[in-house]
Amino acid sequence: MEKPNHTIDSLGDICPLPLVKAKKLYESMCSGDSLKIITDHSCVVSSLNEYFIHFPCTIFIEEVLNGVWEIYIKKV
Amino acid sequence: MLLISYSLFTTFPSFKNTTQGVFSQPNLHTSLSDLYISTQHSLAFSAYSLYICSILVRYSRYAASMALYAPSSDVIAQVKDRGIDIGFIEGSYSGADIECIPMGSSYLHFVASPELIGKNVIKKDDLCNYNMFFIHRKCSLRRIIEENLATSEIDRKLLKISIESPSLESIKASVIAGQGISILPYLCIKKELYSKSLVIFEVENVKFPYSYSLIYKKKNVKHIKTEFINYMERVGKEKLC
Repeated sequence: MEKPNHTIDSLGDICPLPLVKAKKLYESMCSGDSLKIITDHSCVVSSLNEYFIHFPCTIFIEEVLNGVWEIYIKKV
Repeated sequence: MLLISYSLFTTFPSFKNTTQGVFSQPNLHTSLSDLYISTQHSLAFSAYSLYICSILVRYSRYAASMALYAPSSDVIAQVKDRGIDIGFIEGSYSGADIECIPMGSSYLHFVASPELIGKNVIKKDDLCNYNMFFIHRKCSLRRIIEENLATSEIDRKLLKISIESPSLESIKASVIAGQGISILPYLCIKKELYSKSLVIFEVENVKFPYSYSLIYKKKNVKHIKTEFINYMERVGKEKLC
């Protein structure tokens, strides 16, 4: 996985906060930029996936620790 | 209106003295639309507690609610005698007038700073070579640890318990500083594991299971309480992560 341009550490945050942060940052991102969101709450994974699936971007989700996920969003 | 307190070790009726100033002392018996919730420590440090708070927001159209973070023993006492509607505790509880619903399970883990222990697995006998930081004996987590130590045939008298603290944050800070090892719930160390400031190590043939439960008084006259319990049973269990 290439180094992301932006990172949001959302450990301890629940929805909708990570989604709000990701949405705001995504809007300011240029085409080709990528964003990594770190979360420890499964609902955040679902909500980000459900939201960004409608945007021109690629989403990659990895559970890096039991109960901790890195979500990579790359704007196309 | 939603009222939430994040005061550690805040217990009724003493929470009116909190210096956090979130609210003044409410009347616990003012309204059937009020819902009072108390949460024990380790859940309080996980995203799960914030999830519980988000559910409170969902019900806030007609409820004044509050979450307090206290040891499980205090949570049980609050639910039994002090007007708290819902409690989240470590382990389980059986009492004639209290209903207990299992919400999830996990493991307690031996943790250390990455520099302190250079291997992933150590023998039981090696535990006595390290200072240990334990949760205070008034906390239910300590009872669970003691039971697991006995089950695993680890002689507690041989362990070098240097400090007992009621604060998981203090224990974590001491371990991160390399001053010793501890046994902590997975839910409250995920951030430190991710940042690699703490590492989990195994002790040969030792596993410390651990569970959480929701408790409430069987005698219930509040619709909001029933609604909340039903929601937690239906959806909340899946959200423990």
